[in-house]
Amino acid sequence: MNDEEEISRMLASLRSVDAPREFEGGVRSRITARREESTLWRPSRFLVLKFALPLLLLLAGAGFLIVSNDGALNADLVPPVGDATHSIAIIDDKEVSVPDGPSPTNVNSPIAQVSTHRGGGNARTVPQGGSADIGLSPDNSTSFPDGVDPRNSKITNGKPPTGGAIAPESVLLMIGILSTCSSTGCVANSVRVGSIAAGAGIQDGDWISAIDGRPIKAGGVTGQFSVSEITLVRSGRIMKVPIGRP
Amino acid sequence: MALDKNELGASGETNRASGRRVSDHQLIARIRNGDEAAFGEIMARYKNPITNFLYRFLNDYEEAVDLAQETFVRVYFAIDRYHTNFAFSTYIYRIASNLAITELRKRKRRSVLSLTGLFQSDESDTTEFQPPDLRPLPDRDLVEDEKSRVIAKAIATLPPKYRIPIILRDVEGRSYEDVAELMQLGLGTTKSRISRGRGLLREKLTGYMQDQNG
Repeated sequence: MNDEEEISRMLASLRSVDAPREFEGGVRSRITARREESTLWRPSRFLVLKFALPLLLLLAGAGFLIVSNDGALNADLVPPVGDATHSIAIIDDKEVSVPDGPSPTNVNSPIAQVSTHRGGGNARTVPQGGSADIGLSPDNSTSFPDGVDPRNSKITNGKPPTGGAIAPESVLLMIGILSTCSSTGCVANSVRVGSIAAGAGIQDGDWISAIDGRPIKAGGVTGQFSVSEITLVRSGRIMKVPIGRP
Repeated sequence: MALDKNELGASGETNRASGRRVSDHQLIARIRNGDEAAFGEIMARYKNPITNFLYRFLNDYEEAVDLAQETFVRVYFAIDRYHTNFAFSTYIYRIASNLAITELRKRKRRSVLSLTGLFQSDESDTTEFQPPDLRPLPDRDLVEDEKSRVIAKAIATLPPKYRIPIILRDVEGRSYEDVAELMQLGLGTTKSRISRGRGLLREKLTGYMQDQNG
């Protein structure tokens, strides 16, 4: 007998090992347990790695984009409708989304930018609390066709406008409100202490939707201004604030 | 197709009316129809061969029983996917082999050192630490039989690709054709591996065989 045959014979001589008596019961118990487990859905490690993690990253990315866009919207003052920082107000039978609080831009800045829609679209920096040249005229003339004289902070009443629109920021600046406007209204960034607006109770963060009952629209406000009434929205509530004279 | 020994009525349940033995494939069909007794019959036919096969493969009785039970659980839940153009014995041994190989891989990951010396194979995939199983085996005689113990330990250190065909052929007594089909190898490759496995065993058992002959 060669070595290979002897090895084969030795292996064949090994005694068989039998399963224990409780073998079948153990199998049936496992089957029952697996059936019960299968009725309960549990995410496997594969599912977590394959789907949940990428989904989480996707949501994080989406959240980042939303936050970024929110900042951009604030900058443009086109607030999203009905989010956490804005309220819905009815102005002229239209739903308008307005911010609840002060605008974060330049509220406490000693130097503010006032942009105008006329005069070549230039922007000037003016110290808060001082008089402002808002650049209504490119040649810096003293005629103000819409009836306001911003340099003296006076409202010229009684005369019809000569036509065209004036930037609402300019009008509001006359009564002491440094604002930033969009096509649906202006947010009061800063109300100068001791100004007409402050005396009337206008506060930082108020959303101004109309001046003398004329809604603020894209391209500015038009018509005759005595600036005797400001329509504003505060915490979702519309208020008409009479502007008193000193 | 491999010969299914149980198709020939070597043992197991018989049809009482006809006196003929029910084949594995008939039992499978009954299990698919919800016949739990048929599954019990399948277990009765294969639990000992599968447990023995796994015990020889792992050299650990409790682990072998655990994997044998798991084998039947897998069979039960995958019964609809079993194709009857294969012998059921081939199918169930293949499941058991895969489970055993997976278990070996787990052991290898848990290993902290390698065996050297007598049972060190020249194959790189056999360097694994297998702590001695000090628990009593079910058969007291087997425990006391040094020869069986040494052979079993030598088998357990063979690389899986030699261990499986050696156990199936020389321990279980299955034909070369069965082994080839189960391992999904050609007949020549299977015979070669069995021969190579025997050669490795001979190297491991050289000292023991000389003592026996001396």
